[in-house]
Amino acid sequence: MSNDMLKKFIVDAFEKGLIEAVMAPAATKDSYTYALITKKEDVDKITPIAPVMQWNGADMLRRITKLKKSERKLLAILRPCESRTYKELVKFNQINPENIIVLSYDCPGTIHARNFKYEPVEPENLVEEIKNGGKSEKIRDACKVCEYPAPIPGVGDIGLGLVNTDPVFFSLSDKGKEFLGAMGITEGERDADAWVEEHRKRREEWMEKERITGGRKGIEEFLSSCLNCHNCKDMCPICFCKECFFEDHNVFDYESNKFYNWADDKDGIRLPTDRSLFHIGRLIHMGTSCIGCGLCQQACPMDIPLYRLFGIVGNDLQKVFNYKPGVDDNLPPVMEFREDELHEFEGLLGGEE
Amino acid sequence: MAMKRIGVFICHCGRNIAGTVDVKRVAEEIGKREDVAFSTTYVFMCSQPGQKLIEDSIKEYNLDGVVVANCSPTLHERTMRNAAARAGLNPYRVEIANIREWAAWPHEDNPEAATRKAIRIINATIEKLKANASLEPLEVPVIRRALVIGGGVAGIQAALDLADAGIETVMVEREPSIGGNMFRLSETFPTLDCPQCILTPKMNDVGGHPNIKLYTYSEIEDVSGFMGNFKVKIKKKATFVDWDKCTGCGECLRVCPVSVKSEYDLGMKDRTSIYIVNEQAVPLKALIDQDSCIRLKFEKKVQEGKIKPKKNVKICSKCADVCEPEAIHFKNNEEIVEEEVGTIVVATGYEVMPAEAFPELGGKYPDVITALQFERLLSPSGPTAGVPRRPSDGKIPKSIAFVHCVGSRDPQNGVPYCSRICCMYTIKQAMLVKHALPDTAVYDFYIDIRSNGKGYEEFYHRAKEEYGVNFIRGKVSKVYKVGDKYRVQGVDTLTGRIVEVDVDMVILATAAKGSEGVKELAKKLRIPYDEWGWLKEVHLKLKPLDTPVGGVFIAGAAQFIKDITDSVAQGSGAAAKSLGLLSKPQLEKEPLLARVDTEICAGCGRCKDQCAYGAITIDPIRHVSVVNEALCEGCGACSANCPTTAIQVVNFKKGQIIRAVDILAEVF
Repeated sequence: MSNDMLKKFIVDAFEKGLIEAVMAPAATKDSYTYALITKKEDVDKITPIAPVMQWNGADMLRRITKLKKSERKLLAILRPCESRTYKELVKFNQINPENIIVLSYDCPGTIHARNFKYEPVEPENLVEEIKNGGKSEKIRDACKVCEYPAPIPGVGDIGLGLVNTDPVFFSLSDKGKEFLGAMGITEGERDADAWVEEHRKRREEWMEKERITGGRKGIEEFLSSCLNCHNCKDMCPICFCKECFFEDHNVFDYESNKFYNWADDKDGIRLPTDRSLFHIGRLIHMGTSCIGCGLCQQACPMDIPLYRLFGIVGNDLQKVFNYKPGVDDNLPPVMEFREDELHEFEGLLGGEE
Repeated sequence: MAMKRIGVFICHCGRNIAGTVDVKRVAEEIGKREDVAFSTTYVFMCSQPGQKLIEDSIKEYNLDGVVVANCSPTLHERTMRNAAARAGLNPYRVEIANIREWAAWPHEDNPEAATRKAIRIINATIEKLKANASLEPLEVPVIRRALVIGGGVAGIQAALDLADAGIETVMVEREPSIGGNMFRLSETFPTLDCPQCILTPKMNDVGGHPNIKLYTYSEIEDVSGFMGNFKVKIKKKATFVDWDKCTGCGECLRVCPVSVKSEYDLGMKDRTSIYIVNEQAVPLKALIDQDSCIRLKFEKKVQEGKIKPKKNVKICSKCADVCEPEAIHFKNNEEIVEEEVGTIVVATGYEVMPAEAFPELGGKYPDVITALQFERLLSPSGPTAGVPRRPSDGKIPKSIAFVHCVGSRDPQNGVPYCSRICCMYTIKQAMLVKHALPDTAVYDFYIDIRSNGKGYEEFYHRAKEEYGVNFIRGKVSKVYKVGDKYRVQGVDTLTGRIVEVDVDMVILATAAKGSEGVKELAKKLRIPYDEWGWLKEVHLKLKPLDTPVGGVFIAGAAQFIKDITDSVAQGSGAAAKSLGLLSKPQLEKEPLLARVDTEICAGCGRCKDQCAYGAITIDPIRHVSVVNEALCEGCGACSANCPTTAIQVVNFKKGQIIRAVDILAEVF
């Protein structure tokens, strides 16, 4: 069983003095949360490969290391999407990577947290499905069309291969190589290319089919059941601001005449205002760094398939800037000034060439 | 607290505004607002009675904020703020609503729309003003030293004026000697002075001035700091000669066996590998060109392991052998020195496009050269002792053609602008040819003669009337070789005929551009430049010497090609600008800067990466952004890139801007 094998790996690492703490998912009554364990006796409490992603693990690492580097040698078990988030948040100065080893694995995907609550699944069931290069039908939309379901060299430190093989470890970084060496583990190989390719093929089809069309009206209709709860933002690991711009009352409180003027001009307005603005604004703020974990969609109490908006628009934006968040080593486009770029957009608004 | 007793003052600007905008109606409409205590109009708000009106009204109505609706804030914001300050109101509680450029002028044909737009602009400005904070200027300490970059005539003048005023001045020149392009010239228009006679006194003054520290053959490596407090790293390039020992005797030059083209003579003459730029160089020191020196090339190859030296091999050291003071050591003596200065004057000058850039005008032939190269042939101290000879065969030319506007006023092949100095120097060169070779025929192809300086037009007439230069109005289309001569094909636009002349030499007045490498320098200084390498001034007419970076000034041809008269004037001007800053014990700085709300800041660093002034750092302990107030210029790039409202420019907060934009964006 891969979870038992991983737990043994963690206990070994504790015993060899290679780690002093581990952060990994742990079961709760109806779901899975993250647990921080500092004693090898507690390792049994965790489920390293969990069937539910209630939070993004990188977001938990942010909480631990934002103000100061990790005081102890910490092993973090992260899904590939979480380790990409981890890499992205390091660039945004939100995680201090010092003293952290990231282990990530061929991900079987996760089940929507609400579905899981009413219809639980054993963790190993999902893993069994990918052993022969398949996938479960129960996993979330974002997982089915995941671009990077397998560990990526340069993202995190240690990879665990599960597809088409008995579990094998391999290093993703020099730090990981050293770690596996100290553990006395020989690095192995497995062929997951076809499995990854299938995900990507589904992704292409999905992007074609699920793209929100119909311009402004289309987006209004798509968001029509939005409650303005901002839960999607709270769950988004890239939305790390302490206070969201769209919750700043200095900016978004208006005098009554403003509302009446708008109503006059637009033949009536919907209340509360600024609902689509929030989503579009958020897209602008984090779209180039959206790693596609899909937690926005899982967080929506109205079941708006938000990943169709953030995943597809994010993908488009990233293509424009030729940037793969959490994979590329260079800085995100919002942080980097280039004198020479985006010539294809020149003159689009009728200006001079 | 939001302001409640605002005064609004609407300017007629003569008929500039009142001719289109119904100012009375604007004042009435605005006067209806609850937060406006007083609104009125006046014919010229910027006049003294206009300012008095503001002062009196502030006192009479106890105003807590003022909007003046007039012209662009670049013109009279300061005037109005000073008026308010005299009446005891904090000057940052005054805002300008630009109803002249934004409403009156663009909508002259529609007074009704212009009036409504003016009302809207004022309403938006009031919304922004209402949340303005009272501010006090910041005080910044100042280092009473100056740096001049570039040792041409503009830089020399700036350095001398600063040094004479008692300011310790550092001068950095990348060539081995100061003097710049002016020192290459034969004689100067319109007075026909020889630069070697009129510039050398100034060069020697720089060389010997107790207040000037001269770094030649040196370049700016890095600039950090801010107005009044710059730290500059200067790279002294390797000379392989100890300049403390070198006496400039020139013995080494006589024994050096290597011969390469001289940069100073623009390829019109050869120099040795160890060389002194010219006999009047300041400083008069020898240096070795490592790319051509036999010994240094050999040592480099040995070092790179490309060759193995045989035992007892004797490599050329002729120069060192004859050097009595033993100054020549062949050691790479490149070093970086650091200087701290309060102001910087950039006087990096110009270069001209090479003749090779114009193959259709014969640029590929040896006897078709640029006018700057021809200056060397006309110079009494030049390779031909002032009597021009053909570079190809040394023959004295019997006929010469000059071509104006080569690359200038020609956006397709060169630059769109007029290079300004060419008409006059071409006329001068034609005259000097006639001085040296009275029998040589001179043809001068021009589009227009631009002689707009003191004594310039008279100079032109002298060339025509006294010297018999043939001026032909028309552009040259082609220059090609016919036997030993060059055929110049053009058109005489006054007669409409095709003109063809066969000449021995062709002189091209090629377009001027900013000096090579100036863009890299500008980036280090964080000052703007245009695509042709000219440094950009803040305001072409009113602030021609200022750059957006406080404490950095530009002078001479670095800003745009100009003649010696103007360059010297600008050198003095930039020195005066520097002195203005350096004469104060403390500098005052506008307090309109970025501020961080540390409660909200997540320390992501998006602001830091956008700051062109290097003013932002992330506090490693509190994990928030910190603004260095002395470096911040208040541009707001940080605020625009902050995903939340953690960093904002004082009095330009997002709420203020959005409220103003909301009003401007209402359906008209």
